[in-house]
Amino acid sequence: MFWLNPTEVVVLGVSLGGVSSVSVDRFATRTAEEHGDLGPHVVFVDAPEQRVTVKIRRRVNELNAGAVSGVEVGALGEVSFRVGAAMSDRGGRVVRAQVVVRGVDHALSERDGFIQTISMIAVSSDGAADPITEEEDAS
Amino acid sequence: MSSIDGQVLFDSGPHRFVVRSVGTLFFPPLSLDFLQTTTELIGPIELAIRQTGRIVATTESGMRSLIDAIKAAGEARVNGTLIDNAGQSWTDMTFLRFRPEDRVDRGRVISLEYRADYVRLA
Repeated sequence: MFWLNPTEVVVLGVSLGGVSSVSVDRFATRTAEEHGDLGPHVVFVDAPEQRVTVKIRRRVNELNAGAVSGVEVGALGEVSFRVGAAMSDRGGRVVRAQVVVRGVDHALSERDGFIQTISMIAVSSDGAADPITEEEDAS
Repeated sequence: MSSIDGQVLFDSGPHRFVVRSVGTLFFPPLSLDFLQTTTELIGPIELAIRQTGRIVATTESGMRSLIDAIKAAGEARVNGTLIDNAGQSWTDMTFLRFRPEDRVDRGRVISLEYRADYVRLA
C-alpha cells in the first residue's frame, strides 16, 4: 500500500509535517515449502512468519527540523495518518498501526532536498490480527 | 496416497520417503579400542524408511486430531505394509516414531513439519 501526501501524520505522539508519502510493505520472513516424491516442483507453500513495515518519507526544512524527539530506534507506539482520495475534509480514512521504530535515515538530492525516512515494523496485537487497521474518518 | 497397515495417517499434507542405510553394520578399526585392528562385522542392518513431510489442517482442533491419530499409531507400534505415494510397498514395517519440528506454522493454514521412522524389526 502506498499513500501520497497523507495528512495528520502522528508517530509515537509526535505530529509530523512535510510528509510526502507513507508505504506499507509486507514480506514473508520465513516460508514453509515442501516437495513431493513425484517431481521437482514445490507442492506446498505457506508464509507462516510475516513482517509488515511502514515507511514515512518527509521533506525536512527549516520549519520542521529533522530531529524528531521521541521517535527513537526501538521505541514502541502508534502511527496514524489520514488519507483521502480528493484531499477533502470529508470521506477520508484513517490508517493506524502499533509500530516499533526500526530506523531513521536521511538523504539529500537536488530535486527533493533533504528527505527523512522513518522505518517501522508493525506489531500485531495477538499475532493473528493484521497490524494495520484502516477505518472511515468519523471527524 | 500413502499408508501403513492400511491406515492413512499423513495424507493431509505433502510427504516423501527414503530408504535409509542398507547393508551390513560394522565397526571400523580402532572404533572400539586401540587393539581393534580389523573391521568388526555386527550383522545386517535392519531395513529402515524415513518419511519427511508436513501435516496440514485448517483448524487447531483438526491439527490436534491428526497428531492424536499419529500418536496412537506410534504408541501401538502399528505393523504392516508401508505403501508410499508412488505405490511402492515394503512389508512387515513397524511405525516407531513421529518427530515434529520445533514449531507449528500458522499462515494460510496450520501445518507442522515432521519426520517419521519405520523399521522392519528383526
